[in-house]
This record gives sequence, C-alpha cells and structure tokens, in this order.
Amino acid sequence: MKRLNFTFLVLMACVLGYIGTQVTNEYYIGVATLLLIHAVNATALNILLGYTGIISIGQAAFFGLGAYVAAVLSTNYGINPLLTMPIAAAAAFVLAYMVGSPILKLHGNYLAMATLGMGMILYIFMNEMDFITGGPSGFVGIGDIIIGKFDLADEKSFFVFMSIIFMVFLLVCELFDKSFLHNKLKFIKNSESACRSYGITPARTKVMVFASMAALTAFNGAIFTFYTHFISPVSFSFKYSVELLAMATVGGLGYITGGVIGAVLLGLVPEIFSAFEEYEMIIYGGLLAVVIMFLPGGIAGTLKRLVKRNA
Amino acid sequence: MLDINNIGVSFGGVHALSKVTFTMPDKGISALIGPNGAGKTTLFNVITGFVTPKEGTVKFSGEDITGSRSEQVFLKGISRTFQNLNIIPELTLRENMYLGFIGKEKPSALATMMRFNRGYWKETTKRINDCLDFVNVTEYADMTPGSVPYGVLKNFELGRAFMSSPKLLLLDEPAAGLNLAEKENLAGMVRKIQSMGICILMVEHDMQFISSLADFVVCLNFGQVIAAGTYAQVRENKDVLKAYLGDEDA
Repeated sequence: MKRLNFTFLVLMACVLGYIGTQVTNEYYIGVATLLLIHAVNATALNILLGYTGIISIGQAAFFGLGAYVAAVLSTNYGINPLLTMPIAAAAAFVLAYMVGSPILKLHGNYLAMATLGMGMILYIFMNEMDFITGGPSGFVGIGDIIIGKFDLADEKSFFVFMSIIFMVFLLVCELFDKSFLHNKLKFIKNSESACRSYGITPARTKVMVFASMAALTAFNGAIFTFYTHFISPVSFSFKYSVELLAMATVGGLGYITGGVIGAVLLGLVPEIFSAFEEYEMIIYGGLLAVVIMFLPGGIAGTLKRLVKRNA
Repeated sequence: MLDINNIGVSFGGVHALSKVTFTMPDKGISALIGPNGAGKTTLFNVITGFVTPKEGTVKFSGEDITGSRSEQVFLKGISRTFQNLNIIPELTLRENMYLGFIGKEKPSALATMMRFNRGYWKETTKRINDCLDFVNVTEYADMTPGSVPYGVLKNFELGRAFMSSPKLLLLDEPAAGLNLAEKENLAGMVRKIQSMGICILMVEHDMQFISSLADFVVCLNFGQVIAAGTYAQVRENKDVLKAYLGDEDA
C-alpha cells in the first residue's frame, strides 16, 4: 500500500485554515468557496478522464441536475437542505447509470459527442421545463443550509462548511489514488482487452465510475445551490463542461492534485482578467494548447517529474 | 485439457479458421505454428472468448466454453499473453502486476481504500515480490516500462500471467524480439512453470525455441490444421514443408 500524499493534504488544510481565519474580505472568501466547488468538479472529471479514460463533456449537466433537485426539493417541498444533497446525488447516479450503460460502449470522439448530447438534452430540459426549474429566468428563493444552530448564510460560515467537505473529499480521493482501484482504472483506460483477459469487466467498472462521479458532481451542485441561492441554466451549460475539461487537463490528468491545481488556476482567470471577460475562452484555449504541447501530464505531472528528477 | 472441435471463423468473406480440430494433451507444453496469417492468433482469440466462432466448440477440462466472455474464460483458469505487450506505461512493473490477480481475487474496494485489509495486501505484496523474483525482474520492479529492456518486459508479461494461477497458459509469440540469451532464459522459465503442473499452449515462429520445449505441435495453414503430433513428426510432414518453403513445382 502506498503512503498518502500528506504534504498535499496538510498544505491544503493550511491554505484553507489561513483563508478561514485571516481573510476578512467577503469577496475573496466567496471566490475561494467557488474555487473549492470547481476543484471538486474538476477532480471528479479527472477521475473519469485521467484515470478511466472516459471523456465526458456533460459534467455540467450533472452539476445542474444536483442543483435543481436540491433547489426544488428544499424550496417547493420543504425538505431539509442537508437531506436534499444525497437525494440529488442518488438521482444523478441513477440517471448516469441508465445513460452510461449504452453510451460507455463508445470510445474517443464518439463518446465525447454522446456525453455532449446528454448534456445538451439536460440543458434544454432546464430551460424548457420552466414550471419546475423557472426556465431561463432561473430558480429563486432558495434557502440556507442550517446545521443545528448554525445558519450558513454568511460567506465565512459557508466557506468553513465547504472547506470541511472539500478536505473529506480530498482525503477520500487520496485513499482512492493510493489503492489498487487507481491501477484498475488505469488498466481499463489503457487496454480493455487486457483487462478482460484478466477477469476484469471494463463495461461494468466504467459505468460505476461514471455514475459515481455524476453523483459526486450532483452532490456538489446541491451545495452550489445553497451557496448562490439562485440558479439558472446558464451556470450549467456546455461552456462550464469545457471549463472543467480545461481545468482537469491543465492541472494534470491522472493526478488528484491536478484537478485542484487546474481549478484554482483557471478559476482565477475570470477574476484576474475581469476586464477582458469576452476573451475568457481564448485565454482558456491558449492555456490548454500550451499545456498539451509543452507540459504532458499537465502542471501536476510536470511538478512530479521535476521533484523526481531532483530527488 | 483443451478440445478444439470443428472450429470455423469468418471475417466477412475471409475464412480465418475452417474445421479446426485437435485435442491438446492434459500435461506439458504444446505449440501452435504456421506461416503468417495462418489463423493462430485468431484461434487464441476463440479460446479466450475474444472471437465467437460461427461453428464448432471449445471444451476446457470437459466444459464447453464456446462463446464465453473473456472474463469468464479467465475465471475458469485460462490466462493469456498478447503479441503486443499490454503493460501500462505510467505504472511501475510492480503496479502492473496487480492486473494478474485483482480480476480473480476481487479484493474489496472499500476495505482497501479505508485500509482495513492490510493483512491481505501484505501477503499479496509478498506474492508479487516472489513472482517478480521468479521471472528475474526484481531489479526493475519500481521502474516504468519505458525505462526497462524489451526482454525484461516479455519476462514480466509471462510472470503476470503466471501470477493469476492458471490451469492453462496461452503465450502469443513469447520469444518474438528476444536475443538468444533472453530466449534461453525464457525457455527455462516456461519449463519451470510447466513443471508446476500448468499446461502451456504457445504460438511461436522460432522453431528452435519450439523444438526445445514443445511436446505436442499443431500446424495451421490458411485456417486449417495441416499437421499435428510431436515436433519431429510435424517437421517431416510434407504439407508443413510446403507451407513454409513453398511448392517445388511453383
């Protein structure tokens, strides 16, 4: 059994602890919360693409599904927000399992197109089923998460809540990365025929991974709902799926640290280059091109190689 | 051990295998030979469930396994190697060894992630080390395949298949690309594996390698069995000579 990457875990805990205790500007705390949400989504996509070889351009749809399920259940049916999160995750799991079973027989560009199609269909539902979702005008009036006597209404308390969720998520990802499951997924990514000849059923494993990551993304979508208190389909469009893909790739496919690095780096792009908002996608594209051409393995992969070389 | 009965496979209008029939002995090393395109690998694919024949049956230890999925065939005790190495470039050889047993032993994912079954992994690590040692790749165990010589990788593939504790081991061109010393080393390992009671069927072009190992040889040409028997019998067969050397009248 490999040792966990405690350096990374402790570093993340320190950074989050510093932001939680020392940063007082609510805007910056809000940006940090959104970066954590992006990091969870990008890492989930990284496990799909970087570990298992499943390219998904429909992750934003699962994020949106989770957000809408949580919003509708808590606002229209008065269900406790904390309860809506696992329900949202379960709904996404079931949907992804049903969709994944046929489409994961495809590979490469065909699979990308199929997931894109699935994302577009869900996006259209979010827009057109306005009697449930509020349509393009969005869903308003979403309440707060209340844990005991703590109402997570302000930026700081929500950041602390998200930080705890994020650290638990990172720890689970590290445990996964250092277990044989990591190797099993990489075997599937590299050679399905070799896996089959050694008793592994790639189809079943791929569907389970796809559904699990959809559930995780939907759970995160539910958290996003209670953070923003307003959701509209624009947040869950094709553009966000591409952003997640860019985050995972730039950060480093096949590395748990990759999703986090990519999310922080690209998540900060709109903040740093806010004056050039319309050129945001060009900046994303440029970064993506540079990483693919000059940094195989992304930033995390390059850092790992440098550390190894100097060790 | 393995009964191949009247197997026929077509790809479109091409008959890759036609009425292929032979019985592999219950013990020892058998070899499948034939010129390029004879259908050797296709027959391997039929046995291991990658190709479903349009006619005929494959029986393993008396059980009909025709049309079984590859995963099921493996669980019945048949392991194979491929012509092209299937070693994951980003993992070390030690990590690549996991493929040899996780499909059969199916260790609990949750227990492993939460590190509850440390005992199992400790014991497995020992087995992996023993296996790496058995195929003489211990010194390369923590390297990725890109920095390891080809001959070592061939040994590794054999070791990984052996790690799965098969009853029948199918080796697809195990000696291809190896130098003389590496071939001798490989032959020694194959003999050692066979002496442990594991049956071996291999596809190979190197006749010297086959002559030193195989007790039973089947020769295919254009998808049909043209000779079967001991190496000496097959070598003297006129059809085999014609398949390899061509027709004198031509």
